[in-house]
Amino acid sequence: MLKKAALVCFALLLLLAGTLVLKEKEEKQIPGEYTVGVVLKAMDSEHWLSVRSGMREEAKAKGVRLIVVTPENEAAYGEQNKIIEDLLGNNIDALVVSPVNLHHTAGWISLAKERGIRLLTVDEKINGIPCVGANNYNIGRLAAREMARLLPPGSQVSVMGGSANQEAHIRRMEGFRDGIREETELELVASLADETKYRQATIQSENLLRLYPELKGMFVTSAIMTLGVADATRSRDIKLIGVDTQTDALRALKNGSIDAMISQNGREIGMMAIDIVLEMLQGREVPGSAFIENEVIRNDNADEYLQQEEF
Amino acid sequence: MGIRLKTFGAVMLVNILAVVLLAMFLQYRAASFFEEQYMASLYERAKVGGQNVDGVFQEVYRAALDVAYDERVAALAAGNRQEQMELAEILREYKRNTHMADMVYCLLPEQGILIKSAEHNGVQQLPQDVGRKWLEILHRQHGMHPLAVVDILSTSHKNVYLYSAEIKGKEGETVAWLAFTVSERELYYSYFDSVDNSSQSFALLFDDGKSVSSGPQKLDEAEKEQLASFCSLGACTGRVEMGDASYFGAKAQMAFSGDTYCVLIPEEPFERQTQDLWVMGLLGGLIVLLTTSLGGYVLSSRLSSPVEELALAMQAAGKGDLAARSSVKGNDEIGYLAMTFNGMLEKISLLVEEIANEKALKKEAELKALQYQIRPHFIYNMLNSIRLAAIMQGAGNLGSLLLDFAELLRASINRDGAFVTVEEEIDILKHYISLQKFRMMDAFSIDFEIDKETLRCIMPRLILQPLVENSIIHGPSQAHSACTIWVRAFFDEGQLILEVEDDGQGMSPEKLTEIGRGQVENSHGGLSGVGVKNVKERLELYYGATGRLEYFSDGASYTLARVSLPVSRDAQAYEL
Repeated sequence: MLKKAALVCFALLLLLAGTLVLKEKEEKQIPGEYTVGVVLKAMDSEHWLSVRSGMREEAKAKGVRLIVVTPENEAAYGEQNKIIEDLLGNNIDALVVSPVNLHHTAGWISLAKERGIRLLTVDEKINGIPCVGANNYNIGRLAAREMARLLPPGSQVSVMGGSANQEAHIRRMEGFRDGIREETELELVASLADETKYRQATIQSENLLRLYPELKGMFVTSAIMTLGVADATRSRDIKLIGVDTQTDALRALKNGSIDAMISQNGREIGMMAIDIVLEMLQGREVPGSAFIENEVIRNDNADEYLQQEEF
Repeated sequence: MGIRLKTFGAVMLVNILAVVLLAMFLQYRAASFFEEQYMASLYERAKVGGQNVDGVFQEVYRAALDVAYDERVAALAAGNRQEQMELAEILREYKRNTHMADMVYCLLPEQGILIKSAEHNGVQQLPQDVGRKWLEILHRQHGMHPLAVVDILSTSHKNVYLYSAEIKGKEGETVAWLAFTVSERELYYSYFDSVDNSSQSFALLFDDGKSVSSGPQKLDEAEKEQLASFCSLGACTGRVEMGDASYFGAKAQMAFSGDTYCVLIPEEPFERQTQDLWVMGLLGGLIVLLTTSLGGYVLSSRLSSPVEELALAMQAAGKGDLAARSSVKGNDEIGYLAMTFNGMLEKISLLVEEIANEKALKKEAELKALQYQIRPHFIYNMLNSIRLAAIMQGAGNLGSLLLDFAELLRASINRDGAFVTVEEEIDILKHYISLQKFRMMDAFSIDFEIDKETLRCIMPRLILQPLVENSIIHGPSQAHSACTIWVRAFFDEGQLILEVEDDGQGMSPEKLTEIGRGQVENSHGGLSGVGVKNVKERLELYYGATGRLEYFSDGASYTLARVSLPVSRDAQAYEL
């Protein structure tokens, strides 16, 4: 009896050992992940930092290798193009670009097509290339509607855009102009574009106020410029609307120097960009333009958008 | 004990085998598990290391582009010496702000002037061939992949990783060539050397199988080839044979620069560890086995010792020692067994004692019987004396009567054996008949028809006498006062047949059945007081079914008593 039991146990043990030993060893393979090159604009604004953060988060979650390289500042198209060309020389599957200058993109677009690298733009729409970002035209119209809510009919308003070479700013200005004309009884007296820099915005808005003393409202298409304009209009009763959800602008919104911001969540854009790139790489059809939702941020709901604790 | 030891040994053998197998299996599993874990962590290290190095390259690359697209740089490079000194200052600033940057060079190819980030000699005229050579090197660097090259502009000619960039003027013409270098040794000691405390571990940067950042020892071509083949494998971990040693390898492709970061750790200490594991597993298993089996042995001994004791007691009892008792106590099955065994012995010894007592009593009775025989002997002796006296006084008839009587008396009191020969039985019968003739005044005549062969056969004593006595008493009737009695002895169908027949009044059928059932007692005092019933009983007792007494009669003219016995000449054969 005992012997029998021992024999049975022994046989079972052998069987177990055998099956486990014979189990094939799995070798760790290099994950067959996609490599995506990303060239954004300068990392000098919260917007781009948050876009990059969203991209990294989504890339990590989806197992995508990301190479993010950015030029020194938003005006440096030469540097950006060099980076893009170098990156296209790397072994990447797709390239996500937010071009700083829409007039100097033909070179790398044809290079990418030649190498079979998928292209996607962020924030700036180029014909024939899918784009992820805020609906900039819509942002302009939202701003126009908000301006009408803030000002009595007949008031003079102006719009100031960032670089005239960037699609985003152009579309925002267009949207605003159309919105003012079609949906409000406000009067658009000035429309100008300059570099997306704080100081430049202050100077330009001071000039504008000298030219149009009756100016009652301003829409500025970039957050950093909005802050610059706010600097100039502090002592005047000017309704100021900007774009973006970056923290310093939201703080200014809370303390009243800015009246409204049209939201543009960078993280959401970044995550959406990675998702769409993946869909493209997997051979699926993607829309020509994918937009995130935009909302009007006012003094009362600014806290919801402030992701950071105040010191 | 024997079987127990054998079973124990067999079980131990199987167990030891199982432990060894288990240890082997565990060692194998553990080794492969640890190897997997080890490889995974190695891969993580390679990945992190690769990311770090890639970060350095990316920063240097970016810095090179930043300088190249810095508007001041193009302007100052084309300027006078003073402005070029200013440019050197700018280059120094860039170098300071760039992690791991070793040197920033700006070459004006037309003039052969080199502006660099060095503290002194920031602007210098290069010999023509050096300038040309340097320009060639700069042209070899493309994109984000750093160029592994010897820095011929440095005095020490050290190995560097280099990024180059073209500096263009306002009209797009090439004004100068910029180069950013990272010292290979500095990079190695910052990002490779710290991989493992063991001095034998490598971490390598593999650049298309040509250039390598490795540890203190240099790799020969064969080893480089081994590495290159490992780096071209699909797996990111694996074993690499280099020289005599075997290594665990893990590699990670660096996304930015495209190089491979590779970590090699000698396999030997790991192997030693897994070997230790195997020895420890085996030792542990054996120790556990030993202690448990020892415990089992002690326990089983404690269990079996009462059984052994019981067995000993049984053996003793088996050899006849009825006083042997098992001292086992307890209320388990063995205790119950011992108790029952003891009770059984108790009963047996009681019975034996009883039997012995009975035997003793019997002996005593026999002794007493012997004592009682004295008197019959005395009577017998006296009768003989009287007989002699009678013969001497001329009363011969009386003398012969006394002889008969004395002989009959002797036969009836003789107790030496229950069996006699047929001859002896007939002798006794004759004495008896002559006495009866005297008494009955020749009321009958007797006739013997004895087959001589039967004389030596044995038969129970005093069988014929009662039958003859029966014939003498019951035979004669009023009408037929003198009857004849025949006594016969012969063989028939292998049986000894003894018959006593008379031609008297016969027996009624009722009487016959009564006799057949053995219900008739002797009513009048005969010689021995031994009746027909007694004869029947004795025959049955001695011979069972083979000895019979039968009566035949027509109820008027004859009675025949027939005794059938098995033939035997051995007096002891049927002794009880």
